[in-house]
Amino acid sequence: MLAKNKRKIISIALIVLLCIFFGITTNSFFVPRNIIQLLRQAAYTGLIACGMCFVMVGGGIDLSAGGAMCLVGVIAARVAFVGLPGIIVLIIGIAFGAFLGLLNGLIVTKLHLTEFVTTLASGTAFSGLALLTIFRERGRVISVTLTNDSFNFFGKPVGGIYWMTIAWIIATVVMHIIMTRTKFGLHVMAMGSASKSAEMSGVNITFVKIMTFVIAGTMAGLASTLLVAYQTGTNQNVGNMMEFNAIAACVVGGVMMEGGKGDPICALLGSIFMTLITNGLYKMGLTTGGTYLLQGVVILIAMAFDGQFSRLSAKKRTAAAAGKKGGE
Amino acid sequence: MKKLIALVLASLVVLTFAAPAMADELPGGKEVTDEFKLAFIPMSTAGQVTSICQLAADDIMNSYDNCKIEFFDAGFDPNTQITLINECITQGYDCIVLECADSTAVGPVIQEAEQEGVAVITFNLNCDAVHTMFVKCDSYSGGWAAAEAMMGILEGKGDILLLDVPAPQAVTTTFCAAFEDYVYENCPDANILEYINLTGNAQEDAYNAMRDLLTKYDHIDGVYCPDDNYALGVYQAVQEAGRGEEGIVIWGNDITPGGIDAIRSGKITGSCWSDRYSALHEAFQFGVYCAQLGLNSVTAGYTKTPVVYADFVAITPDNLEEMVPLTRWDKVG
Repeated sequence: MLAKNKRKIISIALIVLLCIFFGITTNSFFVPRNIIQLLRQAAYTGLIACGMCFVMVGGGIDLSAGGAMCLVGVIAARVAFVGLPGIIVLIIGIAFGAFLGLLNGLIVTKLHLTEFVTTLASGTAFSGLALLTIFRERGRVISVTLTNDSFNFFGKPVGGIYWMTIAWIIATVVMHIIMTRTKFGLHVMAMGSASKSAEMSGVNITFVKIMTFVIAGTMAGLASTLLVAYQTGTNQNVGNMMEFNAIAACVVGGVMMEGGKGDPICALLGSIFMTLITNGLYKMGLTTGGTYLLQGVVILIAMAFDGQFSRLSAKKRTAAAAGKKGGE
Repeated sequence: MKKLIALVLASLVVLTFAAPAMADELPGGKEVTDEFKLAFIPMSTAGQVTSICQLAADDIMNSYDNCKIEFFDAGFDPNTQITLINECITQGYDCIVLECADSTAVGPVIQEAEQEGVAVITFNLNCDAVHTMFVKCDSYSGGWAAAEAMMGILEGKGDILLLDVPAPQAVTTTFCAAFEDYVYENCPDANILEYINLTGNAQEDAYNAMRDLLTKYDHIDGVYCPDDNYALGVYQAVQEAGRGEEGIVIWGNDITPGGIDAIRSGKITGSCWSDRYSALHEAFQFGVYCAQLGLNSVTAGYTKTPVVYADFVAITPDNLEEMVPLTRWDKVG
């Protein structure tokens, strides 16, 4: 159990160390307001990372998350603008995100295109579509404040905790169960580890791949709709660069880029870690440039560490297997 | 009687000692000797104009020993700006001077800041939520002044192109809208060929867009861009297309050192200038005042944001030299 979760334990230890460090060096870290906001910000990245981890564990990548979020944001804002009940807007946002994920999955599997190219192209197309459908006046993009209270409710905190945070925790738990305790989750991991072998073992690769994209789209839709509710409006920057933040969070948390390893808890830990870094560095008075630089360095270190960690684990496994054989 | 005199004397002694302490404490705010922390969160700190902003901040910090102004970069992203505002609230800043990256998105967090006792003063670009003050470098007046000057040179007629800021930012400015309004109202013989949003803020983006537009339109009389950088990109494209002899009028905005040189050398025809230094100095000054008094829209009970206007002035070769000292670019190098 301990050996299986070694990577997660390292992530948790790093998070705890960072918390202690920022708690000691700054005086506004361990204050309720900061923790609540930190969790809200982590939830935004975390929701997308949660979906992204399915695609990554399945051996793929989804670069369309940002574009999908932007488009879902516009759709959700438009639907909220006409006065539909908040819960309906939320469902439409999530469903539309899932639909965009389905499109990605269908293009990848039916046209046999690589995920990288497909999602890069579809993300650009989604952003373009968002720009075409966003609120305009005399041809110019305008900012519209949503006054739909039942929808804006989802942007406000409940008992001090934001809906975004609540949704993130629930989604992570549900997705973790799906990933680790269901046949589907097992198939995703099998597909990521060795796609051909999985297919030969009877795994419906096409279905599994499509579903990973649907999950990623659903999470992007949920994150985007909740963000629009928080901001009481949408803009062209919703989802900007979020795919990269989500991928970074997954990698930092321990999801393998090559696929086959990782789960939503890894994505959760990675999101907390990334947000913690930004939060703490702002508090320490580091400039925005410095913050970006350190974020990049942290991702690089995490990837290098992951590479070494995987190699060491593989070596240990091989040695153990050889030892077993020798014993026999 | 003796007791009464003793009581009066004792009261005087108490008041004598208490008076300075009372004078140091302002109603509802901090003591004047306390440190005041102000945050300046523009859309981006990457532009040249940041040095003018820094000059205004430095002058305020020189005037008030106990005042500290920190700059934060939102990178044109409303979501980053929200994070930064939240950060400033948590860190106990007394006042936030903000150039809104999106008038809607930052509204809720601005309200939150005001509720938490932080005065929010928007600068240049406004926000829908009620806040302490808005110092408006009126982009509409900038577009109008540019149109007035440019159409004057073109005698109210001609084919015009409008190269606006990228779409997400266009939400917050009305330079081109004002330009169009002026043309529609006053120049029936003028024709706006096309309005486009550039894909980025660099000179290169304007150059690329103009290069394509030059292949599309055989006849162009004027190009208006709400940024000197764009105007220089347009000039470069016109020259490279070999159409420098056509006398295309190129107009920029927010005069920069590059813009000043370009007007001097005749590369661009003109630009517009708004006294950003004074506007921001005023915003910071009011921020210190709000921090001292504990004043913001909530404590003052505002139902509408008070606005202070800073207009734009057209700069042409005729008034360039007398305007240059006012721009303060010479002070920041």
